[in-house]
Amino acid sequence: MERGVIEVRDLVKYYGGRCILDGVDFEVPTGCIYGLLGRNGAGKTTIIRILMGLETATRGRTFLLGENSRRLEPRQKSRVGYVAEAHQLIQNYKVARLVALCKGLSRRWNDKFFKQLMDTFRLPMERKVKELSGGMRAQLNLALAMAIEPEVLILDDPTLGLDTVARRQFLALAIDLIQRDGRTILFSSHILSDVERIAERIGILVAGKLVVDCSLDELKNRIKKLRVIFPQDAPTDLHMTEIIRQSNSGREMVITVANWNQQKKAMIETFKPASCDEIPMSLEEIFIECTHPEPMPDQI
Amino acid sequence: MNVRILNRCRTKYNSRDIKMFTLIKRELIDNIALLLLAAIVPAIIITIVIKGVLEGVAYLPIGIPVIMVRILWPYLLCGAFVAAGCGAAQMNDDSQRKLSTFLSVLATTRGRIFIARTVLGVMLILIMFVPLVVTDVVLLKIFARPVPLDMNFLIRSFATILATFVCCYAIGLQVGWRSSKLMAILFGVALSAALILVVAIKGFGVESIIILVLFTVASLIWTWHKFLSLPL
Repeated sequence: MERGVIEVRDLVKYYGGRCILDGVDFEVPTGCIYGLLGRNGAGKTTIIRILMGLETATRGRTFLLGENSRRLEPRQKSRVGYVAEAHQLIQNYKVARLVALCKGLSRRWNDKFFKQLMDTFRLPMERKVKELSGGMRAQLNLALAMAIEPEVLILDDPTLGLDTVARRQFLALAIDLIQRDGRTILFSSHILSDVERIAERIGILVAGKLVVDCSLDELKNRIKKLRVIFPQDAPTDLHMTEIIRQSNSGREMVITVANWNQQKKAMIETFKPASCDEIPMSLEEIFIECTHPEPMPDQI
Repeated sequence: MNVRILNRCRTKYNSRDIKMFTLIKRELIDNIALLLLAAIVPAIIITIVIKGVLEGVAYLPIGIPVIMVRILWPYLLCGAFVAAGCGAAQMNDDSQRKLSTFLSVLATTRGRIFIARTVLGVMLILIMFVPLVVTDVVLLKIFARPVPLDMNFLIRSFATILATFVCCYAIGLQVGWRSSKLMAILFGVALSAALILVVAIKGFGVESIIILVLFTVASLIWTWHKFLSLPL
């Protein structure tokens, strides 16, 4: 079997005795756009930093393009584009100097494409990076990452801190660039609508554990939110596995279940409900259901 | 076929050299102020030497003008502190501006970034050291000596000074990864002062050189290991 372009195997990371990643295991196949989701501090950036060789793992291994990411050679790195969280570029360099540095260190540099991007973004080459707005820095970072024509693109919350207009502009262009060449992409974000627009496969991190790792369609099929109305009060003795959330209110029961199947459906039908309707869920709603630490006070 | 393989190898090595040159050039431009500082120190010392020699040459029994020997200690002290300060400033600048964080995700390695940094260090040390040697040699050639010259003493002195500069620079790199630039430089200078005591106790000679070389190797290995494994 062909190995994934990005592989994370049993990844564990401790910071000062606190467990940040607890046995994370996933794979991104060639050409796949993988959206990594999680709340603040869930460990998304840590995974990406370990993948990029900026951080060491306490246990486990990560592979990029089939090589251990701790020991990536420049040859392999030249095939990976990286847009860091908060766009950590060299702040006191002029844009032109930063571009020259990246160009000088790259093995492939598509000058024509880069110029096109710079024209589109209208980035001033003579201004210092620190004088650019957050949106401009994001665009510069994306342009630098794309100019090397990477086979793998790693985007760590690239729209963080951007206003709505800048975020939309950035994403529109990113989607266009990403879809053009069928690249493998690992994309982490807080903004789930962004991920939903781009990602084919989703990973959801909760407190350092990967609780979801499947395709977006599969996720939507597997996690169901149902509104069940019973002839009398909703039963409190519904013992079903993999209930993510359940709330009862008089005759109504709203239940979110993982791995929805015929057996679970049959189990609900034994209580003879008057109606059982599926409530459509967006990725954002699924994410909230999966990552909410504990049931709301009014819920069971 | 063989020619093609050879050409491919040549392209590969050329490309690697160019990337290394890019890293060294970046270090050079970013640290131009340090290079200027390193040039000012010998300029001042050389001015003093020439002034001293022009005022009247007094020779030691080993054939060396007194002023040249008197100047060795100030040169050693100033140079060592500048070397340590430059090493610490270079490393601290990296940590504060997250230069390696940016560079290491490009098509290079941390090892190469470190090598480029030490290449600049070597240049810095040579800028401080070579003018002293050249000036002394030229002056010794120009002025006739009443007694034969003890070249051995001169070589041992120069070698000790060079070893001290290199060692202090290595110590500077080692202590530079701190939150405050001023503290990093002060710490580097303080450790250099301790190293200079070794020369003060052992004198300019082989024993001092051996101790300094051992310190340099240990310090560089530690910094290399730390730099390669440190979270950026």
